[in-house]
Amino acid sequence: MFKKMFKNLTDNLTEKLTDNLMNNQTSKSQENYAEQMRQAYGGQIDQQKFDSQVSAMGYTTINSAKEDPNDPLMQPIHGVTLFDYAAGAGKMGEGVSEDQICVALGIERPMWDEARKLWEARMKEDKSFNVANVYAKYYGEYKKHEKLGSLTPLPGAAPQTNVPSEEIEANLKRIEEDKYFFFEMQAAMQAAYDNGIDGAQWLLETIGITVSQFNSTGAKYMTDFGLVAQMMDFQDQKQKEYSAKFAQDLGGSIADDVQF
Amino acid sequence: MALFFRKKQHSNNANAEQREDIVSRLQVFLARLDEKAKLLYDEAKESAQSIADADPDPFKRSYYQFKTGIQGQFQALLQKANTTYQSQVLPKANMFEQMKVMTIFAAWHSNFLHLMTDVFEGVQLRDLEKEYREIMDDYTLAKEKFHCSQCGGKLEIDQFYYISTYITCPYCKTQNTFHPGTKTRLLELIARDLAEYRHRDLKENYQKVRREYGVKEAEQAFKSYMRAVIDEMNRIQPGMEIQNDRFYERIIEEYTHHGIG
Repeated sequence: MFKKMFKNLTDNLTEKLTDNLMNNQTSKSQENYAEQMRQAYGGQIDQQKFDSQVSAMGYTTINSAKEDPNDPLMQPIHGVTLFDYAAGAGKMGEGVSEDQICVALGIERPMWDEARKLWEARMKEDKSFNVANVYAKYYGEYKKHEKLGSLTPLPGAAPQTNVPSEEIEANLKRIEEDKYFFFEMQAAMQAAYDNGIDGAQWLLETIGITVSQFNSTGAKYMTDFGLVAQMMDFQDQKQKEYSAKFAQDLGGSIADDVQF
Repeated sequence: MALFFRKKQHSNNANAEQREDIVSRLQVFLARLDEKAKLLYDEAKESAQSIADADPDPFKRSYYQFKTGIQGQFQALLQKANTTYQSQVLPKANMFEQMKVMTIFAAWHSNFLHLMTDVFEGVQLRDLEKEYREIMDDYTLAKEKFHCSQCGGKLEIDQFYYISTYITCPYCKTQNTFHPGTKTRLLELIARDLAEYRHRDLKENYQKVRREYGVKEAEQAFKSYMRAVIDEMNRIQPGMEIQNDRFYERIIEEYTHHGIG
């Protein structure tokens, strides 16, 4: 789910890379990069080594990305820093309005609109993906933002859920601390989508949190390739279990009555 | 001895029948799955376009939910076939029969994947030109209703603003904020898709050259296509020319160095 966030930012890079890999139209550097990814996912390389090797090829990872104050692409726009922008995006995912964000930041709407537009453009033009990776890092920490972290949606604007607020807090804490719970919920959402159920809505109704909160809280897990690889089997197993459950709730899977 | 031999022969015949049965049972099993898949395919194909058209959400979430649901059903059929093949067919077949079942299963698998990928082929997720016209109508309305908050004078807007912008009143010099309509703000979502759609002929040409002559030879065609797309984006969303040009440079560099395009 988290990866989807960057699709528009990195545009067609990932898609085209896969396409080219499949069509054997790879250059040497692409092959190297793909090999690094394979090794990292296979747990054959430590994260630090992986990060430095990717950096040597001119790209950054979320761990090696830096907010260099001398980097022209990192300069605030109308006073809006990349952290402000990432925190604003996170809050919008919770149902906070852009006007509320402007008030909290002490700026007017035209300044926010232009800053948002230009931060998006910077991410698109940055060949090293440094801006997008720093953004991702901040997105994972948006609740810590001094001015925006505590903002709540206006009455009626928050996504509706019947889960009591103390339970929501407990679930957020659990995602933060329990990697198994995070990967289980991720598997459940995918299983829901596979069965034609809105996974985001299921998450909201079941544990009371939005996809934006979920992705942000769990961002730290998704940036550790070794952990993702380690949890893959667990996630697959959970996905099957949830899929069977959802299918049963919907009256069974299409394949149930076909026997060998 | 003779009795033993007869028994053994009988047992061999029974095994052969059972093995023969495995091949035909696999064919019957796959045919049943095919039947289900075809039904699913026909229903999805028939309704996909109307579901996309009826979804008012700018992100088309209802349509995507429908799509992932259908894909999940296809996956369930595929998973059933794979599990059965691995656990109940292959282990029971001898070497000769394994060749047979492998060929049958590979052909079925390939056809199934084709069906699965073809089901949403040709669905027009959105009518981009229609959405663009609606956005421009929304913008014109917001523009016509825009008056100075201080003196009430009619404020003229001489260029296209799709984000909030300061406009100074020519009569009383008050700084006003022009907010484009909600729909106008959605222009960002469709700008690139619309630009690509308007130059799809150049894209087709580039893809043809790439298929026939390779990445290097298609570079010029790719550049022509991307240049046209970027220029179109500049026309759709004025004010982003510098940023769009840098984006163009990144795309071209990725093509030149990595063949990504």
